[in-house]
This record gives sequence, structure tokens and C-alpha cells, in this order.
Amino acid sequence: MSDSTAPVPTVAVAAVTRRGDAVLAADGISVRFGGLSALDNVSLDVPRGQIVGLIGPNGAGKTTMFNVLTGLQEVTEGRVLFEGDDISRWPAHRRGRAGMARTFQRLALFTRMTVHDNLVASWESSHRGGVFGRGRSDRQRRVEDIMGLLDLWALADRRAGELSTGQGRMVELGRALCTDPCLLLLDEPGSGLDARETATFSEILRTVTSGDDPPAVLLVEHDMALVMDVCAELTVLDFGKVIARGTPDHIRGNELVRAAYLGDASVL
Amino acid sequence: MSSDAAALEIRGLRVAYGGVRALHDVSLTVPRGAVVALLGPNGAGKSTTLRTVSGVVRAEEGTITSFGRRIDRVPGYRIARLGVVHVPEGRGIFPSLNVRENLEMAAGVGGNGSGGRVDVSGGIDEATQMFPVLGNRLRQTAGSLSGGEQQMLALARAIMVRPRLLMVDEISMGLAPIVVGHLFEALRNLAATGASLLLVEQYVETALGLADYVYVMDKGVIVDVGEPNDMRASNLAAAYLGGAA
Amino acid sequence: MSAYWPFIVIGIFTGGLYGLAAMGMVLTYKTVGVFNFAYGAVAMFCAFTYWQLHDQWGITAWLAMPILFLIVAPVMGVILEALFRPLSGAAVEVVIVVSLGVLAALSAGAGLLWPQDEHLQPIFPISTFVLGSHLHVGYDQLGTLLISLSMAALLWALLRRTRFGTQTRAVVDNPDLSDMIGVHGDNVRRIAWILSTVFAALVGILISPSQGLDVNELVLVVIYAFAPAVLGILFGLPAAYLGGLGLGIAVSIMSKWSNSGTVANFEAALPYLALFVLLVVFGARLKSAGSGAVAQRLSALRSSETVGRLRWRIGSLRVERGLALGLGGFVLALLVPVAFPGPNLNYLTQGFIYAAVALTLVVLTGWAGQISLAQFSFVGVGAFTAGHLSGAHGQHFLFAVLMGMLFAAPLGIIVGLVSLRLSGLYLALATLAFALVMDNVVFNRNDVSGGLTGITVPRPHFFGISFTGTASMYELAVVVFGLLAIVAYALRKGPVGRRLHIVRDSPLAASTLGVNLTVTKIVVFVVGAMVAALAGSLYGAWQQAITPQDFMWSASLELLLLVVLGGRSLIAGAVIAGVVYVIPFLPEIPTKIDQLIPLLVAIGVIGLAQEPEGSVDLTRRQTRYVLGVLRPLPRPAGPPVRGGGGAPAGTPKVVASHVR
Repeated sequence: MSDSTAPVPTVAVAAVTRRGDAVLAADGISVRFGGLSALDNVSLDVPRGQIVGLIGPNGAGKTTMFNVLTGLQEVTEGRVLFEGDDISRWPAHRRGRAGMARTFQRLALFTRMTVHDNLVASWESSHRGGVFGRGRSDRQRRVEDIMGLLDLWALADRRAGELSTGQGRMVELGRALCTDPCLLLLDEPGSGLDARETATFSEILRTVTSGDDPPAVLLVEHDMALVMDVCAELTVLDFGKVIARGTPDHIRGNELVRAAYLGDASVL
Repeated sequence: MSSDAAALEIRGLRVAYGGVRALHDVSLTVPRGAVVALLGPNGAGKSTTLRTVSGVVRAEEGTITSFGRRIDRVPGYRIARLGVVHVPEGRGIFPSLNVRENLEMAAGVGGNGSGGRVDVSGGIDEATQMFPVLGNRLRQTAGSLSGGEQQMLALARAIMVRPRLLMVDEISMGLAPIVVGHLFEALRNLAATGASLLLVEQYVETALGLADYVYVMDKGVIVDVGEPNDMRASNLAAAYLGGAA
Repeated sequence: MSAYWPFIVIGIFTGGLYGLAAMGMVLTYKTVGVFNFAYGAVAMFCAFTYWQLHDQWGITAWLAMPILFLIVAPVMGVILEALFRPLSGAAVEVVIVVSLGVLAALSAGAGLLWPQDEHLQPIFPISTFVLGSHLHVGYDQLGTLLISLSMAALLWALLRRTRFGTQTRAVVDNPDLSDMIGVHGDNVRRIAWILSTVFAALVGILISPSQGLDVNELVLVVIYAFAPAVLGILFGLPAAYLGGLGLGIAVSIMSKWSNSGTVANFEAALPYLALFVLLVVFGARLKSAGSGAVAQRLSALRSSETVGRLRWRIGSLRVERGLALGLGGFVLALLVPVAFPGPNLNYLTQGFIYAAVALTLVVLTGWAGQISLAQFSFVGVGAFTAGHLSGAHGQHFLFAVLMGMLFAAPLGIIVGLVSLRLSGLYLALATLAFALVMDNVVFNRNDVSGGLTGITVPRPHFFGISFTGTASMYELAVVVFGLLAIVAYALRKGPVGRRLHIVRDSPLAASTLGVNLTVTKIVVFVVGAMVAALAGSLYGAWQQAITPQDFMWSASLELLLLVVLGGRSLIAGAVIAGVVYVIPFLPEIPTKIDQLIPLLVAIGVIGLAQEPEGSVDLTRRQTRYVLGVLRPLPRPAGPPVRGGGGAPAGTPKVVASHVR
């Protein structure tokens, strides 16, 4: 599996031609821990307004890639372009302020604060002067919009630490949206959700990405039904390398991906 | 006790958890040698049911009997020694122990309820045959394995014990489809040896493919029970399990 | 070289004991996640017990030793295990504070039971043999070394070469799972505590003949072992033992230089410096034991009812209840001198000054989740700076205060930088080391503190007001604290408070949302240091004479203990801490009771196992519970409690549970 060849050439060409309108362009990213290679020359584009999926076996480097993109992990090689700026050396908080927001595979809620305050704190953290109380009315409007959009009003005064996984994932999404992101990185948002919650989630994801000037989304997820449903394009990682890239249909039929990740289709 | 006693017999179980009632009057049977799937939406109380059986959580009311023996007042570590083994949701491993030591921990459990010791080296061979990838990583700390490998390790350790009743909680959570396939393969093989299984699973179709009987839970009560084919046809199950059934 | 050999021999002797102590501490840390600050007190208590048995009652060593090692120490171990069991998953500061409570209880208990400054009869004959040409080695030294070495080897073999060893690590890793696969977790934990206590007893009776039997002395000696203990946490038990040996030798050689006047007092600070450096260097590798996620879930569950703001209606005005109570309390505090004039007011003054220090702990620990055991170092810097300036240099009081705060700021930056690398227990240890270094290197200097006699400070005089009287000084302290509390209150509910809370709850998520952790943490520590320094300059002006003893590391520990007891995230918690702190100073309190107070506090702290949010929160919830019973209110949506166990409404069939 590991001796897979370079990305499918036709796809690579397509990526290059599109680069002009990519919100995010990661270029030749490599991360090595000691002798261990976690990511090896991974390139990835997220076009404006699109949902791009990043899939692959556990330990393939998807979360490491997210950490690289959000500034929680330094790269050994390669660079990250965001809205045309080379942000490779930017610290995490600067990327957050520039419009990049993420959720976490293991929930990272502000557990001892209410749901409402989770969103408020997010707005304040990402907007200039927020910590000095500037823009309070804008803040309130935005927070209320998002609470409505994600149907969080019933939970507004609950502590985030008491929520179920499904509710927590929704609050993390809301928190990310409060930063007015132009790029949303979702790390296994469907993990731990039951079928109904997953359906609700994909519906909301669709709402979020429609409308004017919606954020682009990079989605890491194992629930193939969800991924195939919402993503316009998929990139498949295995052992830190890109083994395939293309539309969901293209990926479904790819032999390499079947061998490394999908297996026989019975669990789909 | 009688030889035809069920592998697990839960009667009228009530459990409160952190000040919140999680189970109201749950009754459930796993017949000897059967595979039972316990399905339902998040927060239904499936994990709590399993945790109560394995003694991590105490029941307020109700009885739990396994192979004819009451276990609801038996401390957790003894329940395991009776051959009732639980692979919990999430981390079913000891992250700072290496793979070999994780497998060796199984030696504390008397398989088949006989109180006898598990053949450790034979068991490790068996585990690495089941999941060859573990064989290459015996000296690696379990915490550094990928999510799929960790679940393989957890399941291998549980199977090594030769459990009479194996309870598996959401083993597929967050795993690549191909790994889920491997894990269910192992469960299928275990079931074929005559062990009884109680599965909690989010991928409904996968669970239905393996189960002899299905229970559906919601909000701390059992709302439906039947054979997989009935479930596929049941509107009720569809309502609780989403469109997936 | 030969001149060093005698020092090396002494160093090996004490170093082996540091190593033993370090191993005992690593043992409980690794198995139950408790870094036992009370380890020295346990050793001391065991040494006293042996002294009672052997030296007082004349029981022969052949009987007294088995009694100590097979009965007394194991019983203490079992008690400690039971004490700490409910704390699994509690916040780090609560665990630290409970172990500080145990320390206080044992110290107070020993103080009540036994006379101090006794010496334990040596275990080994006091004679020496000559090694090589003229190196004298005591039999006690040799015996101690052999015992420590063999015990260390035994423990290592037990943990590395037996099933018990694997089981202990399994129990630490995943307690629920270890039960699920048939390991009796409670037993494993109990055995670990017993072994740890037996090691403490051994350290106690081996070290006491040379160090003397003294409550405080032994506690300090064991703090020396913190550095090798951290080595042990990082690199395993042998590292702890070797680290102890190395430290013993280094300190001993230093003392030779120090005696010759080259490095004044450096050897006393060396172990703390080593601890500090070790923590900072290996910061990235150190992760606090115990699952943070569990802790957060627990505390979220426990204090879920305290969410939501309580408002009182006064006419058409809606006032937050906390603010109303606080302002009311402030006015009452201002009026105290009218009602109770007299010299005892002095103690209340002191209480409010300490409350200001406690307030910095509330903000740091309760809000921002950063533990500091060095607050009194900042207090001391403020006090001595302002004291020198307003006293000997005759500067204006306010200028002196400002300078004191400015001097403390860079130290705050240092600790703030440390907090970027460390958190939880390790931050606590690093700040403790920082405080101990400050005590030994800075505050001990004659030019800083005037040595043991200290310096004198004049009472303040500014804006035409002279604060020479008891009442005026009191009012000054109340006003300063009141202003600080109002500022803190205003910030707490707003963006600044939220910023601190999110940094505590999930620094990772906060940073990806745009929070600059570096700036945030440094600002919090610098402001905390400056406010502590402000309190320090007030303290000097109030006391009029200050000595290094006023700002010892132990004061920081005691105050943290009281803050956690009062309520570590509440401004009221700071007031309680400050006021309780001064109770033992009151002359009306008879000495016997005086000694009992630490014991009472310790028992209160141990009760924290059940109430990690502190006493105020507890009373508040109980009050609300009583009110709720009297006048049932609509409760927030919880899970519906259904009688019987019927299916939800609208469910077509309720199913029998028999399959066949």
C-alpha cells in the first residue's frame, strides 16, 4: 500500500489551473517527527465556496495536515498559501484572525462556559478589539444569527461540558462560524453522531456553504455516506502521501483507494 | 446452574449516572451463542447498559445474570474473571504500555469463567495472526498506534481471553471503512466459535449483517426488538435509527 | 581531588535518601496521579512514631522496626489511598491543595503530640572506618547507602520485572479498562500507596539521626527530592535514584565552597534551581497525569447549577446579586472601625492585604487555570522595594509603591514565560522552585532584606492624609482591596474574563480562534505580580518592619490552600482566604487552639474531595436547594423522568424482552 505512486496526473493539472481562485493552497507539505514521516510532499487546494474532502486510513496524516494548516504544527518542508499570503510561519492565532477556523476531532469546547458564551468568546477572539469590548452590537447580531442557524437556542445557557457529542459538534461549528471564516476546517464532525444527527449535520453544512460568499470547507471524515454526499472533490491520503484525488465517483472506483481505505463496499 | 442459562439476562435495570437517570427499566437477553445488536440514537443509554453489566456503573434497581449467576453486585474486576469481557468505546487500550504488554494484560482474566490462566504466548500468536499489523509492532507503545490499530489491539486482547460473553461498544467509531471490515471479520469468526456477543454499533447495516437479534433503545428504554429482517422492514426502527435501516 | 572525598561521602549518604524519597513520590504520581507534597510530612510522622516507640518507650529496634514498617506505615498508606481516591479526575490544584492539607494536618498533629528539636538515636553504630589512606566513612553512612541502594533496586525490579509492575501502569493508563479486564485497581493503588509510605518511613528514620527530628526540617529536606522526582517521572525510577545521588553530591560539594566563602548560600538554592531548570528544559515532554477531559467533565457536572446570573429586583432596577452583596460588604467593611475600634483592627487590615494577594490567585488559578506558588515572592519584591524607597531613601509613598510594582513586573514575565511551556502540576512545581530560589538567593541578601532583622518601613502619607493610625491604615487596605475587587468583578463578566476562561478550558481551541496565548499568559502573570507587589508594599507600610520570613514560599502554599478552600474562582473566596489567614495571629486565640487551626483547615481541605468548587459555592448551592424546596421553581430542561419504563408516547408497541 505504501509504495503507491504519485497523484493521478490529470487531477494535478486541474489543480494547477484552478489555483488562482483557491482560498487555501498547500504546496509540497512534509512533516517529519524524528525519522518518522507523517506527511510527505502533500499538496492540496481548496477552491472558494467549495467543500473538499480529505479522507484516508487512520494515521494517514489527516489531523497532522489540519494542524499544519492551522499553525499548531510546524512544517519540515513546504508552504501554505492562504488568500494569496504565504502563512507558513504564522502562529495559530494569526491564522485564526485571518479567517481560518477549525473544529476538533476530540471536542475542544470551553467546557465550563455556557454555549452562548462559547460563541461570544469566539467572536471576541477573532475580531480586532474584541477583548476590549469593541463591536458589541455586531457581535450580538452575529452570535444570535448563528445560534438560530444551528438551532442552539435551547442550549444557550447550558454549560458546554454537559453536552452530548452531537450537541458539542454543533457548538464547535457555531464557534468556528462566529469568526466569519473564509475557510472552515472540519475534523471528523460526524464522528460519534448517530444517523439522525449526521443527517441534520449534512443539511446544516449545506446551508452554511450556500448563500452569498460562503466559506470554503475542508472536511476530514470517515462516514463515507456523508463525504460522498457533500464533497465536490476528494483527496485521499495514505501513509502521509496523496494516493488519489478527484470527484467522489472517481474515488469510489479507484483501485488504490479501495485497497488502502474503502475495502469491500459492505460498510458504505 | 442450568446449562441452558442465557449468556446475559438483564431484568428491570435502572441506572442513574452523575445525578441523571440514564436507564429506566431496561430488560434484555443475550441467548447463549447468539449475537445481539443494541442500537439506538446517541444518548439512548446503550453504553451505560454495557458499563453497568461490566460493573463500572452500579445499578439502582434490577438484576443482571450471566450464565445463571447474578453479577449485579459483583465488583468489576471479578466480572471480567467470569468471562464477561467488555471492549469499551474509544480507547480500549493502555496507551503507555507496549503492544505485547497490552496483550499480556489478558492473562489476568480467567477465560471461560474457569478461573484458569490464559496461555499468553499462544494468545499473542493468535492475536498477531488475526491482525498481522500488530505482529510488527509488539514493542511499540500502544498510544502511538493509529486509531484502527488501537481498536484491533483492543479487540485482539479481548478475544485472546476466550470470553464467554463479549460486549463491544462502537468499535467502528472514527475508523476507516476497511478497518471496520477487518474488525467485523474477527467478530464474525469469534461468533462462529460459539461465543455470545452483545454489540453496540452506529453503522446499523453492518450490525444487522452480523446479529441474530436486535434491540432498539431510546432515552433509556428498550423500544423495539426483533430479528434483523423484521428490523429492516420496521418503520419504527427506521424512525429511531434514521434512514439507514 | 582528595579534599573533595569527604564531601562526596556525605553527599552519597544524603543523596541516596533523596533518591529513595524521589522514588516514593514517583510511585504514587505514576500510579494514582498524586504528586504528594506531604511526602516529607509522612516521613517526619513515621520518624516521630519510631522515636516514640524506640527512644521513649524503649521498645527494642527489632520490634519497633516491624511495628513501623509492617503496621504504622501501611496503615498510613491505606488511609492516604482512601483520602485521595475520590479525587481521581479532580483539577490539579485541588489535588495539590489536598496534599498540602495532609502536610498541614501531619505537621500540626506532630506539633501537638511530640516535642520538637529531639534527636532520633542512630540506627547504625556511630563509628567510622578508614577507606584508602585517610578517608573516614561512617558505618551509618555506609549502611544507609546500602539500604537505599538495595531498596531502590528492589522497587525497580518489582515494577519492571513482575506482573504487578505492568498492572500498576495499566491502572494509571486506563482505570476503568483495567477493571474490565480483571485487574483489581483499588488493590494496586493501595499497594502503591503502602510502598510509597514505607519508603517515606525509611527515609524518615535514616535521615533523622543526622538532621534532627523537627517538623519543618524534614519537610524541607524532602522538597530537595522534588528535582530527582521529576527526573524519575521523565526517565524512570533509576533516574530518580541517580538524580538523588547526584544532587546530594553536588549540594555537599557546594557546601564546601560555600564554607570557604566563594558561593554564598548557593548550595541551599541548588536543588530548587535544578528543579526549575529541569522543568523548563523538559517542559515539552511533561504532560500532567490524569485525564484533563475527565476533570473538566466532572467539574462541569458538579457546578452545573451555578450557571446563569442571579439578579435581584430593587424597584425597577435589576441588580446582579453578587454585585449587590459585594458592594454591601464593602460599605460594611468601611464601617468596621466605627463599630469596633481597637488594636484588633490591625488583624483585619492584614486580612484585607492578604485578600488582595489571594485575589491574584483567584484570577490566575480560578479564572485562567494557571497555578502559581510564587505569589509571595512578588509580595516580597514589592514590600522590600517600596520599603527601601519610602524608608531609607525617603521617597514619596506612591512612587515607592509604583517602583515596587515595576520591579515585580519582569519577574512576572519570567513566570509567565514558564507558563507557556508548563501547565498543571509542573507549573506548580516550577513556580514553587522559583519561590524557593527567591527566598534563598534574593531575600536572604542583607542588602535586600537587612538579613534576619529585616528593614523598617514608615507608614504612608499622601494627598495630605497620614495613615499612621490603626483605623486609617485599615481604611486604606479596605479601599485598595475594594477597588481591586471591583475591577476584577467588572472584568470577569466581560470579554477579558471570557478570554481567561477559554485559555483555561482549551488553550488549543482558543489559539485557533485568534487568541495570542503568549501575550495573554504573560499579561495575566505580570498583572498578578504587580498587584501582589502592591499588596506587598501595603503590607510593609502596615507592619512597619519586614523580614524575609514574611514572604516565605510556605506562605504562598498556605494562601493557595485557603483560596481553594474558599472558592478558587470567586472574589468572595479571596476575602475568605485573607481573613482566615490571619486568624492564627489573633492574640485572643489560645495557643493550643492556635495549633489546631491548621489541622481544622486541613480537614476542611480534605473535604474538598467532595466539593472542588470550594465552600462559597457549596453554601450557595445549599441555600438554593433549600429555597428550591420551599418554593419549587421550574427547573432547567433535564432528561424527562418517566415512571415505570413505558415507551415514549406515540410508540406503537412496547416490547417484551424475551426473544424466544
